Amino acid sequence: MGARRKTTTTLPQELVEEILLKLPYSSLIIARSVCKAWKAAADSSSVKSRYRDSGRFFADANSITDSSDKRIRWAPRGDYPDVLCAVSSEDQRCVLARSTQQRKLFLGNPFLNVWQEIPYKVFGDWSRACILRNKIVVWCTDGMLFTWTQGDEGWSNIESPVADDSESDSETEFVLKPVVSGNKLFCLDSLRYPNLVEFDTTSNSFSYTENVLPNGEDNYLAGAWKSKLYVGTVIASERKVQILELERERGVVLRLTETTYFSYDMDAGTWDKQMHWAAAAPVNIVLH
Amino acid sequence: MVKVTLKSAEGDVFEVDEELALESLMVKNMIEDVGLDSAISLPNVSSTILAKVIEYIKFHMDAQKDGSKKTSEEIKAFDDDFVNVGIPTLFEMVLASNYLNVKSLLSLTCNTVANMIKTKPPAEVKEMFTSAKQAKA
Repeated sequence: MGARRKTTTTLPQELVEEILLKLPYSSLIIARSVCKAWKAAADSSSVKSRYRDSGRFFADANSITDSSDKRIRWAPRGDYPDVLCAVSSEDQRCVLARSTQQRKLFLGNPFLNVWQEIPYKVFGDWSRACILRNKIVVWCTDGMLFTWTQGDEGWSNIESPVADDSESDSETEFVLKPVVSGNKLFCLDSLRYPNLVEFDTTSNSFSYTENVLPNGEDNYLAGAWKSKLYVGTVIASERKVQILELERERGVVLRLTETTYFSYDMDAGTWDKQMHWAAAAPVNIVLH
Repeated sequence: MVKVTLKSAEGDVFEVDEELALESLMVKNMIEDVGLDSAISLPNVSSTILAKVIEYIKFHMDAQKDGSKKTSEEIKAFDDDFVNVGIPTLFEMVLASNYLNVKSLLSLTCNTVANMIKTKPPAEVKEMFTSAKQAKA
């Protein structure tokens, strides 16, 4: 290399850290591979604790999208696990990942590549798992709850109460993906006359409200936003989608909006106001 | 107007308005400690970089003054042009703004480096920053 070039410089780690903190996740990975010093900065505890990327997790494809909308594949610890469930709330963005080969479960954040191994268990439907601050709750469709609390050696299970409906209690089914709001979980049981079931994760107790929603409607989807619970319903006869807000304390349902239901016909490639029941299920409420 | 004398690493002397010098929190503390009589020595900042920093502060002070006709586009254009330098110089400006404690310039220069990483393909990023680094070795 010969003569030293003057007035050139490297940055001290604290300044490299400041720069790295401004990057979307996909660029952070690139910057990390630039040189040893940058790798050390990217892996430093000060970056790990402060780094945030407003990216999104996908529950199905071993991939995440960061704030620059780049899709990144990821795998904890060099293995190739399935991503089981993704929940990201204001201060916690975690995914649950399973390595079927190793029979291991990990809880972690792919944006930071921080993983924690948790006790292994197999459930039928992982999409119904909710990640809370210190806890994971899996609310299965048959009403069984499995919980794991940070520090516990294994999972415990709790049975949720079923409506005291002697006529057709065998029909009870927990229809929605449970919704997290604060330290509570909500689920609707049964499709046609839904009852709202609340599970308090701090006291492990349930409360039950019967027939919370107007009768005769179908295809519910729920979402929580700013500690309020919303349910979307499809009214087939009127070809409408309704967004309802559940005011839980007073047991009141507020009707928020109604909007005409449109569906996309995959065969014809056109939007249609006609309800296609076969294709009606993927109604999504995105509360952002 | 009261003047402050700043001395760069090479010993070059820059005479600036006190108001301007106070934009550097580091210089501000020095003035509070040792007063205005002697030159303030900045052994970590080269003349070229010090001149750039002064130019930056001066422009932004003028732009903030009442009656300034500078539009936000003009300010943006100045900033873009200001950081349109090679990586070694840019790194030196990051260092200098950190040392002199000029928050707005530090954030401008850090953002510029971050944007370079963000917008360039991985191979180019690697090359760009390792060559900037090797220059020292």
